Amino acid sequence: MKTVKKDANYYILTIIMFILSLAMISPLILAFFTSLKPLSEVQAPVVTILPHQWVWSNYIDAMKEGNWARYIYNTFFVTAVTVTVSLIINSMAGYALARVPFKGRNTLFFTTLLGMMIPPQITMIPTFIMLKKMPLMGGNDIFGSGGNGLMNSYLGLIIPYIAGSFGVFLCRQFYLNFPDSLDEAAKIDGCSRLRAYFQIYIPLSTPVLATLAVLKATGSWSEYIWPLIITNKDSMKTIQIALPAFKQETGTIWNLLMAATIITSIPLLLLFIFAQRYFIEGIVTTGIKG
Amino acid sequence: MKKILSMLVAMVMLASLVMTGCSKAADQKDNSSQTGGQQNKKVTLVFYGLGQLKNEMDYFKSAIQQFKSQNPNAEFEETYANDADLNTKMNVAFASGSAPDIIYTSISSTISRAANNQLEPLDSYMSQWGGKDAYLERNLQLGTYKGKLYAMGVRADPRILLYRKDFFKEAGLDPEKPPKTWEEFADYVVKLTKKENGQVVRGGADIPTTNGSLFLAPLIFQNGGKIADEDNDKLTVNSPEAAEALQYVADLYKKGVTLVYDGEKLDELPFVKGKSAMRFTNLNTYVTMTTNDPSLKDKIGFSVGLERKSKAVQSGLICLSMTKESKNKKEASNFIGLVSSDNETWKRYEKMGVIPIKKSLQDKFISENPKVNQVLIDSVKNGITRPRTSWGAVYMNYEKAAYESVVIGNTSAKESLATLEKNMNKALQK
Amino acid sequence: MSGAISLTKSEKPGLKTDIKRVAQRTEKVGYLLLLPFYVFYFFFILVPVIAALFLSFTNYDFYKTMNWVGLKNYINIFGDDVFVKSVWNTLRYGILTIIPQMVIGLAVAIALNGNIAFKKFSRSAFYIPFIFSMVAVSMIWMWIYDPSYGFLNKLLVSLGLAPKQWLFDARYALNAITVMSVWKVIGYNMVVYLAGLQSIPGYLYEAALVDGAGAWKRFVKITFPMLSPTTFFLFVTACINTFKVFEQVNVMTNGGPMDSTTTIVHQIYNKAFIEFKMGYASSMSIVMLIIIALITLANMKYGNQGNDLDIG
Repeated sequence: MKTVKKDANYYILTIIMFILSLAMISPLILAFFTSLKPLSEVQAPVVTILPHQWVWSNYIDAMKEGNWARYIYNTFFVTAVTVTVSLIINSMAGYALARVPFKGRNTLFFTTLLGMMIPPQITMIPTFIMLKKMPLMGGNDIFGSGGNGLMNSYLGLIIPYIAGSFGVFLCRQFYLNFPDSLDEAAKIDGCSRLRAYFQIYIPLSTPVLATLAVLKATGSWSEYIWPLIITNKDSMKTIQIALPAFKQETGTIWNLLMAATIITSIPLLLLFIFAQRYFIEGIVTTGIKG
Repeated sequence: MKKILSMLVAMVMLASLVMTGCSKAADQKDNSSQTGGQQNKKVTLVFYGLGQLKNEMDYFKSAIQQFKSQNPNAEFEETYANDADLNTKMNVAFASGSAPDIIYTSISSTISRAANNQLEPLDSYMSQWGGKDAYLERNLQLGTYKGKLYAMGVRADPRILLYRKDFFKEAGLDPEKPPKTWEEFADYVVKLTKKENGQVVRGGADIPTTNGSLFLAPLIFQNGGKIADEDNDKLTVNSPEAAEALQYVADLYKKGVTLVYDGEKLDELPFVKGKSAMRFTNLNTYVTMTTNDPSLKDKIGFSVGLERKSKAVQSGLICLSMTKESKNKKEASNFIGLVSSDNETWKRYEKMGVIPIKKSLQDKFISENPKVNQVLIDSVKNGITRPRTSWGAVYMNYEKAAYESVVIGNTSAKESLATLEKNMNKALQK
Repeated sequence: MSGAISLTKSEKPGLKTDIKRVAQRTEKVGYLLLLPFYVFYFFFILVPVIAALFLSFTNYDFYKTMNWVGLKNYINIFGDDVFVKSVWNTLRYGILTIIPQMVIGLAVAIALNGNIAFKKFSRSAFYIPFIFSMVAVSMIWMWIYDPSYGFLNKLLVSLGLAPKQWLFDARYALNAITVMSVWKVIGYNMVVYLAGLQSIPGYLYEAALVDGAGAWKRFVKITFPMLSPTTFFLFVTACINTFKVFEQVNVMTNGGPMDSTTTIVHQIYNKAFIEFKMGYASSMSIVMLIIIALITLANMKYGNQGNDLDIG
């Protein structure tokens, strides 16, 4: 629908959703105000909503507490590689599971779901040992002993994220939506499955790839336990494990913590806003009638 | 078709090459110290420490600098984390054979690792560190498990009684006479509570709603009870003395004399917010409050706390230890010796206000601020810690449940301690 | 054209290739496309799961002890009162979070997909809570729920209502955590539904409008059925994430008060990392895996994927 009908529904719905949106972010608005207060006001007996003193320098001070430029770079790099590789291998796998017939397909699909059903606290020890004993990495010999393997490394951070099956599941469900006729028409045209994937499905995949990029980036950005145990050096820390440093024995430094949390959430927000343009409303199929 | 296939394969290979390259680069940058210098064997000490006090981490930074200048062949790789995260990291490290060399954490956490055979006994290194007689006995005692020394105390953290002299005056109590017995304390607490419409607006004292272990434990000891028979690694908390202490807390709490708060969450402490008249707490509370509001300096009083059948003060101890698996024990011991030296100990007092636990520094310390520092030293000498056993951490979880069931719930102290013992026995079965 | 709206079989979502043809016709390119992902997945996820299965039959204590104990861990689980309580809590948590997050997420997605202004702002506003880490969100909400200084009680008091002790009260603690969790995850449901909505062909709606179908009928006959793969996805991931709920509990209440908020993973964490009973904790996670797998299988067989799906 190209024309926007500004009828009563349009205005009512806009107002309702706008108010609900504000309600949704209200806790975060509170957090934002907290990030601008001086510490004495945060710790004072009297609770205020709006800051009495607007301390914008909190944002700079928060970034000085530790090597934040490095932490942000680390998280950025790991997330970028994770998302890029995931987009490729997950959509390929999802397409195969949804549209290409092959023996054992359903069983293989079910096994990819299994990995999501176990808590990371249990699987992380075997994974850690495997990464530490990775042959020929980080000073290890061919049997994987002697060095530190992939500890304290970007690969060590990235590999477990790439292995996650969430994206495969998402892509599979998306590719299930396409009508049979699409594959049949492609076959008639002499298109192989692979060519069909690249020339027909990928161009139509922008919504799911945008969604996958956003969700995978959010997941990788928010990872906590895994970076905690695979890194021992300050220079390899990621954002999430650097944030708890604001929680001190003398009390949480709320203002700086909120400032740091907000700064480190901005890239994801920008990614989300950017990805929105790929959520094109309307017709997706190429007009083939079923 | 073949073209696309080969393109795909090339893409995947390229991606993995890029990733490997990046990882190698990162490794090389950080490991250059390990590959260079063939003459002096480069040694990297891995250090896991509690990192919840900024000035403490700053102090360690300077100590590490000092250490590196004294030991030029040594590199230092330090990680700081909070208690729970440190525990997770240590568990994974020990389980996978990548244990750190040095650990800096609470005494009960340290001793539980000693009990699991993960730490190196330090008795033989003592001669390099000034000998046993240079240290306060209580600290050496705390660092010992089954006859061997495993932990060297660095920061003693007693919880003394802080009270608001102005609120005392308001309630008609003598501001120079803080409570000394359980009866006095209960009496004062009720008198100091201010209520409005049946809701407490200012508590008589901070009594935790949950996670009240640090509040309860000294009371148990003061009553002649004991949480653990540490020499035999046994639980002894199911006793009439402990039950009396727990019931005392619950009865007092139920009179409605405190604001609701969590004993482990250090953010919304009523006393710090000016919403209670008394609190058992460490010196940092005083420092925080007076930094934010200097007018409080004259309004806050100090006292060692209560006594009944004996004196007991909850006194945490954060200490250094060395792991059994460490391949760099010599360098590790140099570091521990440095930190334990008189020089460094006094530096910690000057920079952080940490109580010096070397005998030679006692007089100097007390002369700096006789009234307060004497209280602190007495607290350390009468200090008790969380259970120093192999089951310390497990116990905390079940004790929390026991505390809640009596203080918030309706179980009797006797019943809940019996349940606690039952649960612990079950948990400790291999 | 009849007045009824119905989707033809080829328009309905679901696996199109019927099972007989799968067995006869195996296109090897399928394996090739699946392979890059599956290699990573197998080594770094499946192998650890198998390792966990193995550990569940031992008494591994995280350090040097590892002896085979057979089914002893599994037998002990059923006698473990706190574990049973954690299962109940987890199920309660699931019921209170799964349906609301999906229903609200769908409603918001539809609203923000249609004829309305400020779409970008609203979509971002609903998604932002999801961006913040669970740890940060837990800390913010702990502050909101604080009995003495929290915003919520202050609001209640100003409206003349009685303040509650929220996270300190065994009656309300779990519900309080539930509200926060749903709030955080609505954005995720919205985003996935938005993507799903994009792939519904416009001509279906046009045809329905010609037939005079109202908004509700269009939703029931077109939108909801066409979204069934998405709904299935969100339901399964919501189930899985429900069972894995841990961080909020660990940060906000640590399982209390009086075990009213402990969840399965919280118990697993305690047993593994605090009590050093890794073998026992592994058996708990295998039990959890079996429960989730059964729920997922049930959903696959009797849910929207109906007769198109078969395992084999």
